[in-house]
Amino acid sequence: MSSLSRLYLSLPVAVMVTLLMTACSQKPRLYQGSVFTFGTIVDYSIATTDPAVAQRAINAIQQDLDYMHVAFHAWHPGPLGRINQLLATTGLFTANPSILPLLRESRQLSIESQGLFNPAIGHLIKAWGFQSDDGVEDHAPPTPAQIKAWLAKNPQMTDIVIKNIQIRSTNPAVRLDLGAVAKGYAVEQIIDHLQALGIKDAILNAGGDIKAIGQHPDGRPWYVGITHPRQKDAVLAGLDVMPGESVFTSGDYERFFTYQGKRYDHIIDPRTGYPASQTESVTVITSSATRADAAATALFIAGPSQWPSIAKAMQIKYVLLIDAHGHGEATPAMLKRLKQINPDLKIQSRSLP
Amino acid sequence: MALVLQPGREDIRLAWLAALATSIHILESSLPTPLPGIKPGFANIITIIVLLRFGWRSAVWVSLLRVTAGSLLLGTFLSPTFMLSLTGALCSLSILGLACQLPGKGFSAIGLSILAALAHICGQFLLAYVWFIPHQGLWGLLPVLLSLALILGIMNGVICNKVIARLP
Amino acid sequence: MTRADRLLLLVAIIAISVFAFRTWQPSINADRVEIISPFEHKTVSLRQDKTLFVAGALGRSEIRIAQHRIRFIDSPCTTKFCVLQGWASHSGELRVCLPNKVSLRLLGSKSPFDSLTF
Repeated sequence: MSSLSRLYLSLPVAVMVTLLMTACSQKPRLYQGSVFTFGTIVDYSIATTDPAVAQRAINAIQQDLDYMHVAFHAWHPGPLGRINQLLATTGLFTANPSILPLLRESRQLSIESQGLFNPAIGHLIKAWGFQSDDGVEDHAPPTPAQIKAWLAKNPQMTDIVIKNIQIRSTNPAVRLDLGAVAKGYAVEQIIDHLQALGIKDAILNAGGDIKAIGQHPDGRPWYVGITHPRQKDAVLAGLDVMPGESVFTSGDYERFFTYQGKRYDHIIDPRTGYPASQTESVTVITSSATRADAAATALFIAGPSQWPSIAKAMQIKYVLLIDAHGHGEATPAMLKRLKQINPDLKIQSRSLP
Repeated sequence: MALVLQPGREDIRLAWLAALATSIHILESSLPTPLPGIKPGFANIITIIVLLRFGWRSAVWVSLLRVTAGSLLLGTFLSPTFMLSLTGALCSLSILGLACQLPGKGFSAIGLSILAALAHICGQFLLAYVWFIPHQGLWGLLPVLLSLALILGIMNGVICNKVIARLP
Repeated sequence: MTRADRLLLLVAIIAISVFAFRTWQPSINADRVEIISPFEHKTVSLRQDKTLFVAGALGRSEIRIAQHRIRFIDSPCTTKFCVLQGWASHSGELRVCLPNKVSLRLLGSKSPFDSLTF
């Protein structure tokens, strides 16, 4: 019987030894996963030594994004949905305060972008059929007359007057769609929350839009690939993301519909009322995720002719733009950072004015 | 001319033991299990005891009779379940045959039971892999199955020892 | 226990541990799934949500891909064990319907990138 009890002792000891072997490493563990929220998939990589902190962080990501998704949704009932209903009345009303910081920032960014990033054209976006929850079904585009009518009303963010928590619009045509900025703002809030939880190293990817803090547990910067706008599995280039940087891409391939053989993408040029068609994708790097989100959209609309001046106005140093013919243009600063550039891609260097 | 088979003493003993093993086999198959294919393998206790008392040939008889009779009674004869049982039994018997050749004191019932259990599960796993689902991901299950086999093998070995100690 | 027993036990524990460590690599999120049945052998991306029907030995198995995960929804087998297994999302994970001979294995490649912007 003594040999038997020795046996029963040796088993747990063997288990303990194996566990210790794995637990002894001092390196923080990388917690990776995805949550489905904000109408997209949010991938996270969080480096920490404390599994409890990782779990709290993952819960925070899910809960915060779920909440912000409701708050910033342009056509569901919720804080922004209510604002949109009341904006049509031109009277003064009290807005849900949770949305005001984002509204103020959007207004500022819209002015800096010289109106190219214009979240006030919700009616146009709706007319184009891009305010739908699951995918965009093929349908007829709005008629030129409809588009002309909306353009004539010229809704702008500057039409909105914010006083404390009261809002008023001087133009009943204003309808807010924060689709080009809300994700950036949300990413910014999540990163703040993670840092408040004591997390120093993390990278968050909300449907292709990235913000990183700290570095990879291997002691190198987070390394990010820029997806090819026309080949899903190919990468244009790689780049190291410095702590606190956001990398945002706007592409014409994410949301679009086809009608009579013509493709219409979801980024509407507020000057013409039609989808911007001079660009396949724009990638920008800057510290604020909110600014990065708005800038990626504005530069996409600006296209090959205008992007350098808008980038300068929005203080974006790092830009890579792929035009409608697949040719690349980048700021010299961006060009220096790109690694493993796709051999099929020709990139021309263009300085900001 | 009628051919009369006269069973000898040894035949009757083997038949009794095989019947006992078959009963355990059938009882076991009605036990609920968390994972299909995981069984405590109590029927193997009989195989090990027969091996130690009456030798390897007897163990082969009892084991194969048990698998065949058990499957006939359960209605699984020649089905995949039967094939898995048979492969497991054949692998166990082969490794037990080798283990008995060991010089010196060799393995006790515990060692033999562990060997039998591990060989049993390895054989079944390989058959399932080659025949039913040739899928790489299946290998991820093997460590779990082997660990369980090890624990159950030890358990059955201990039971063997206790039974043998009480045998006349 | 004899000396041989103890030696065997030690060797078995070490061998199983080593085998487990080698088999269970740290899980990475799968990005595609390999589907094998007696009639089909294909690889499908997990990026797009969809419902698939795979012909097996007994009939059609219904498989759902959603949010980078995959599971059996329905199967012509009697046990429905494959359906009860639920979702799989990590590389190396396996969902099998034995009676219908349909198996799903998740695949994921270790990309040089920590993340992709698109």
